[in-house]
Amino acid sequence: MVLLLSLAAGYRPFLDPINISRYWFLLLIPMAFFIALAYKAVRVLDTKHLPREVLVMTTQIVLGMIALGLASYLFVQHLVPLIAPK
Amino acid sequence: MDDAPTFSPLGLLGACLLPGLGHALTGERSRGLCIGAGVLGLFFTGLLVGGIDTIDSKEDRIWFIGQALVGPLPFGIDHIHQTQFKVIDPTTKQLRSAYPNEGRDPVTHLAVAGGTPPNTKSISKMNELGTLFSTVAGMINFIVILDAGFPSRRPKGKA
Repeated sequence: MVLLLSLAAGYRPFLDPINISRYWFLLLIPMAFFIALAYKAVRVLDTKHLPREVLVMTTQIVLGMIALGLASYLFVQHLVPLIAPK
Repeated sequence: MDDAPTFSPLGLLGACLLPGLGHALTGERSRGLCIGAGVLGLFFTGLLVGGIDTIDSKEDRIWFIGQALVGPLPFGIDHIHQTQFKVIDPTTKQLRSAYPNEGRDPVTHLAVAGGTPPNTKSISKMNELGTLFSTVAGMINFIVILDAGFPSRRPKGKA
């Protein structure tokens, strides 16, 4: 939908940056998926196990990044104010 | 030493030419296809997100070093970017991206006021993410090249 609206606004795919600045964090999902696909394709012994391995690794990356973001938020917003001099 | 790595020149050469080709040439066709889909998926998603401006050996040299690990593809795209999309600044005579209110003279390649820029320079998060996608593609492909060139390095018994 965003792509269709962008195309209507004169967006040229692969030449202009896509206008999804508000939803930039959702790009974590395709990035995690493609990394998992390429990496697991190298690592698995039998490619029939690949779909499950890719799904597991994609989920691990996404959940890991959410956990890191949450930890950073708690550190900056709650822990630092406690230890910083008033 | 049963675990000593074997060397596959054909696999190494193929992997350097196109992601996944090294594995495909050495008989692992489905593995090569999946590798190609993963690495090229990352690379072209980066290009889609940030535009052609994310592949720039002149303005983003450090990032281009990572992108170059994808193979000849980023070199070709960078060449097209430098020669077909950048404009020559009338004052400094240096190549640069066209400003939003500039066009490109098809003969002299000079920046001219008015018209549509050949491409839009990406900034902010879209530029960062597009560049990151294509650079990560290069870094993953480095692992792929090593695996294609030295196939016995794949761990046995654990995926």
